[in-house]
Amino acid sequence: MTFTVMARCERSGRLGMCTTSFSPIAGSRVPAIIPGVGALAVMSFAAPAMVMFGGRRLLDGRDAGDVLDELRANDPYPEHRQIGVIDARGNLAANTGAAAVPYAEHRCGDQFIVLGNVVASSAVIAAMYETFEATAGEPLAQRLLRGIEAGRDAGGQLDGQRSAFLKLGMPQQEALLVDFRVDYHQEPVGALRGIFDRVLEADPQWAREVRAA
Amino acid sequence: MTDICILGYCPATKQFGVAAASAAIGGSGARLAACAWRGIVYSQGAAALPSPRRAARLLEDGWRGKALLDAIDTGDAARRLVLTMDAQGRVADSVGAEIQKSSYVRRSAGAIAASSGHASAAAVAALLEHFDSQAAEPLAERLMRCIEQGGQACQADFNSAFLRVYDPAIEYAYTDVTVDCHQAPVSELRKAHDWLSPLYAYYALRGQDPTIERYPQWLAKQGIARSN
Repeated sequence: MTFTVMARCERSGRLGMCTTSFSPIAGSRVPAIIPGVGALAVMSFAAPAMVMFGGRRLLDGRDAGDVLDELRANDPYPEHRQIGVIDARGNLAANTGAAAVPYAEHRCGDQFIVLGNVVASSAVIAAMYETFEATAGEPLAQRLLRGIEAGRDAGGQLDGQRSAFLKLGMPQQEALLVDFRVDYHQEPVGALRGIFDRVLEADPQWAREVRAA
Repeated sequence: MTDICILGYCPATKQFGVAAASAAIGGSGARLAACAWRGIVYSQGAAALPSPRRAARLLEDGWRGKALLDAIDTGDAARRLVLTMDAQGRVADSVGAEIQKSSYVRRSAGAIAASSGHASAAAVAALLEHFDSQAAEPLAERLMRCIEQGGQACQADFNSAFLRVYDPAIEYAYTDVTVDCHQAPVSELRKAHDWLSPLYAYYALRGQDPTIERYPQWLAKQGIARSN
C-alpha cells in the first residue's frame, strides 16, 4: 500500500527517501535513513522491528545485499514484503515478494530504487523511475519528491494516499537535513510538497544546503 | 525558540513516552533518543542532541539519570534543555546556563515537564495538571491532553508537535505520531491520534503477521464501528 523512491547521490554521498502510503504514519514505520551508513525501506506490511534490525546491520558495516538476505532469512513472511536497501558505497538490493499485494514491483537504477505495492499499475513504477532519471542535476530532495509526485499522478495507490514523508541525510552530519512527515492527510503528497516549498522559501540557509546536492 | 514538552510514565503498563510542541518546523528525530526497554532523552531549546545515535547507545548500555545527561551533553550544552526518563519512570534534567532564565522545569509523580523560550511557568503547570489528575487514562491519551492544555496555557505559535509512547515489550515506538510545519500542529496531532489510537495494536500485529485481515474487519471484531 506504499510507493517509494530512495537514492544515494554519487557526488555528495547523501542518502534520501520519499514515500507515500495508504497506511497512516508511514514515516514512523517504513524507513531507516542513517546518514553516511545506508537507507532501508520495509514495505508491503511495514514492520518497524525489521527496519530496526536492518538499520543495525547497516551500522555494523554490512552491504546492501547482505542486509536484504538477513532480513529475508529472519522474516517468517518474506514473500509478503517489499524491501529496498542502499548502503554507503552505493550498492543496491531490493526484493518484491511473490505474495506482495498487486500491482507490486521494484526497479533499480543508477544508485536509486523505486518500489511500489498496491499501486494502480506498472505506470506508477515507470513514472517514478523515469522522473527520477529525467531530473538528474536537480537537488536530490527535489528529485525524490518529484518522483513520488509522478507516481501519484500516474495513478498512485489503488485506495489513495494517507501519509507521506521526505527524509535526507548528509554523510558528515548525523541529524537528517530533511525530515518531514505528513502522518495523516487526505492529500499527503501535496501537503509534503507544501511543507518543502514553504521551508525552502522561509529558510535560505537550509535551502542552500538542500540545493547543494 | 518556544517549546513545551512532558515525559510521562504509567506504572500499570510500564509504558513511558513524550509529547512536545515546538516553534521548530520539525526535526523531532534530532531531539529525541530512545530505547524501548531503557528510557528516553529529549532535548529542547536552541540546540538539538549532539548525537541522538550515541545517546540511544548509552541508553541501551544502561546509562540513566544525571550520569546519562552528563555523558551526552557535549558541545552546545549551554543552549540546551535536556530531560530524561528511564523505564521505571525516574527522571533527570539539565538546563544550559544560557537558557536558564527562560526555561522552566517541574516534576511530579511519574512525569517531568518543561518549557523554554516564550512559554511560561504556567504552561509547565498546565502540562502537569492533567497528568496528575488522570492516572487511569491510557498514557498516549494522557500525554496528548497534557500537550493540548500546555499549549493553551502558553498561547505560543507552534509549528510542529509529536507524541511517542514506548512499551517495554515492543522494540519500536508503539505510538508515534508527528505533525511537521503546520499552523495548528497540536490540533492536527489530536486529529491524527484520534484516528490512529484504536489502530496502534492493529499495526503492531500486522507487521508481525501480514495474513491478518484488513483494518476495517479487525476494528469490527473489536466492536469499533468506523466509516473510513
